[in-house]
Amino acid sequence: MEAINLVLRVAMIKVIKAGLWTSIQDRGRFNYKHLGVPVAGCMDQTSADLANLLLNNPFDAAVMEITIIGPVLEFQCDSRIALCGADISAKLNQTAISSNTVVNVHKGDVLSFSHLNYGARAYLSVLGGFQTDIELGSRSFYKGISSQIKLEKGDLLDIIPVNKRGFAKHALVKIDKDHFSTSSMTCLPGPEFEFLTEPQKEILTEQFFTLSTLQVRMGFQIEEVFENSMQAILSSAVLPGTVQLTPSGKLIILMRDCQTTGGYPRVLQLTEAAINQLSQKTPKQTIQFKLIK
Amino acid sequence: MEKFPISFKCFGEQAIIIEWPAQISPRLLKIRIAYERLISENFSSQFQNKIIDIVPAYHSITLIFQNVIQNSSDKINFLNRLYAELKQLPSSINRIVQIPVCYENNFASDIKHLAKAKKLSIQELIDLHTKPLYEVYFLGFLPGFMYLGGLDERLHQPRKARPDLSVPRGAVAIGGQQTGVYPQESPGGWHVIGSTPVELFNPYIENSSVAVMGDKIKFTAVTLKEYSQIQNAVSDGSYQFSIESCND
Repeated sequence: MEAINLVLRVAMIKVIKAGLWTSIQDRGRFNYKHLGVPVAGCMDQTSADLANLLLNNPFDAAVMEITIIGPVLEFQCDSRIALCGADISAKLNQTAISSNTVVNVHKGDVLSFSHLNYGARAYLSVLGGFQTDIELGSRSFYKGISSQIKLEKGDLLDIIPVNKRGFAKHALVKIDKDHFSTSSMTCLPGPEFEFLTEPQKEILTEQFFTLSTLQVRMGFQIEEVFENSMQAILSSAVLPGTVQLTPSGKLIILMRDCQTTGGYPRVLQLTEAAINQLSQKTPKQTIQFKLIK
Repeated sequence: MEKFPISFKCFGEQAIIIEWPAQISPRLLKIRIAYERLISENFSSQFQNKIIDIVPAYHSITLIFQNVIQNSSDKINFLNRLYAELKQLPSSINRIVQIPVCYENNFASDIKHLAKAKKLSIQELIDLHTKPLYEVYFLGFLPGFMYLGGLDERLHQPRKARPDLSVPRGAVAIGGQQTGVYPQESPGGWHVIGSTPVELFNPYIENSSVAVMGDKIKFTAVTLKEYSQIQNAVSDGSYQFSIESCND
């Protein structure tokens, strides 16, 4: 058995430092919401897709989601990687490496990060994808479903072995800077939008709102208090991108790890594009909800 | 058959929410389950855009699609016709799942306080909590968390103004008009009256949740000693849930 394990575990990455909140994510968990299981998955799916695309990985290959402060990773095998999303000044050994391109790594190389230039979440893809356990159809980390919720110092990550396949050499993608800089979050009315008063609707869709420091994979809170007389509703479905309004006037934007049902009025629903863009925001940045219908 | 009025709304770019008047009703639960089954059986053969998740709740069903919904009126018309076809409810066999609960002090941090507030003795509180057959309306909030209906009015109690930072896994609690079991450790604002040693949700096995929508739950009081015995049986894998079937 030992020997088999050794053979299967040749392709590995060792976590030297974990960073602020580093996890493995893919496109998320589907078909289990009726059991109360959240979808999870990459906060910024657009950037994660790009990272997989550069390596010709399957579109649902698992990537590493890196939040604001990056990890330190040691490669224990030769491989290829791509970094997309936030720019956190990545270095391979002592040399700065570019995002949005393919980088060759060798056994013993150390990937590290320093200051955040733009965005909030970077995505690291590795040729073949990360091979963590699949639970309920997905490798995405989520409390109570996956064996861990974030990476810890000392973790060893397996890579799915692949035969070298053709992929665009020196592939480089041009990224849309707007994805990181826009403050305009496109959205549709939520199921309870119609119960807001006209002045409330106007404030909600015209004013700028500040993102609070409460920013987790489950949801982002808005700092400003929104004048509200709407009471809680009978629990009903909520989705990533649902904007809830609490009786005390707090606005909460639910994100990928959000619960499946909730009891606060759902006033807006962000588009997929807006969820991805919002995932690249840091506390204190301002946003505006822009109704597209 | 008398049915409840129904309405359809788009919920973002990729979901449709089906709603009934806001109420918690066993009859609406039956209609909702039958309608959801009709949708599951008939929808996918009609449309290319597949339903990837169905989220039931007290008075709603939310259908989540794989792709952005291009033509919502086609789908809504189809769903409306399907509802009209729902002429009678299939006779159902109910599963009654027994959940052993230890209501003793170590596990019941709020039971004294709650009994006092409700002007009941602790034994009266336990009797009122173990008497009903609770209906599982749906699962949500946390993986395996059951939204139960049927809590005795004498036990209704508003949630704590300040939620506890950590409610232990297995805690049996009361919040507002509801009672439930925390399937994992979580913050929570409900009043904890007991604990179950059994595992209600296990993602590593095929039927991850012991109880599903439409099942009934019966809480049974166990002593501290029985709690430990059950806990041992759970950890060595020999615990068997007591599940009965009954006709509607």
